[in-house]
Amino acid sequence: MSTLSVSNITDGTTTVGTEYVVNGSAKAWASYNGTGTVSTRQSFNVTSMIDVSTGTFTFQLTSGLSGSGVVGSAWNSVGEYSSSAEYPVQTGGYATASYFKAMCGSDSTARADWYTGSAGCMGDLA
Amino acid sequence: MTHGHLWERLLEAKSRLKPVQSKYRVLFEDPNAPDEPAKVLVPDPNWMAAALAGNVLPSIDTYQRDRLVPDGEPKEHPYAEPIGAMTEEEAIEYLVMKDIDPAVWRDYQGNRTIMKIVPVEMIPSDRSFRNAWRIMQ
Repeated sequence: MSTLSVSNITDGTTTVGTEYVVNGSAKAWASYNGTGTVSTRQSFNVTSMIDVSTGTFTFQLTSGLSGSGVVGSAWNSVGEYSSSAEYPVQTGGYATASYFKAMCGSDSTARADWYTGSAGCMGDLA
Repeated sequence: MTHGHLWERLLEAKSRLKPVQSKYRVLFEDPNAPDEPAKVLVPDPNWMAAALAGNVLPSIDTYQRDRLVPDGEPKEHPYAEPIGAMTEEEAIEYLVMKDIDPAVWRDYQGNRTIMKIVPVEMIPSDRSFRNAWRIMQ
């Protein structure tokens, strides 16, 4: 693997420092099946997925983030609700130095399992 | 330093290695939260591929030492030298030590069985009563 070492990237009009590109990249992500035999479909920088309870999963980081407490930004979205109904749902997540958490809602306040989920996090690598 | 940052090695490994779905799951309960349901650890297919191939992941000792590193101090595992290939069974042991609290796999003194490594077929696919799952004694 060869390495391109540059300080800035430009399209001829706009110039941006490469540190913004690197720091702005997702540091870990996963597409997962939260129903039946749960598993990750696609992922990056994830060691394991822990099925905590209905609609709640944590994704352990292989290369951790720096800092303590909630150290990064995490997202989680879901689709294809396990029933045939479609509703706006609440989802949430957060990232710590060693994992990011995905919480999947339903049309009520209860947690729910979803067939298709995607989650990830941003932050500074340790 | 020729081996670079772990995150960069993971990028390279993902582009080169075919994901491997493990035939194992780790079922465990948190002794500090006895009312919570049993949890299930699912190995990540890309991570498993890297573990089986070797020369990507750092030693488990680096993660364990990093648990003791004060907040804000540099961590060892991202820059540690990669280790060689593991078998799938060794990789599962590595995962247990990395991703499960030592209170479960090292420190627990009680009589209940609170952790089991099982074939994936042993985990129920019907999740209707997911929040009531416990390890059968």
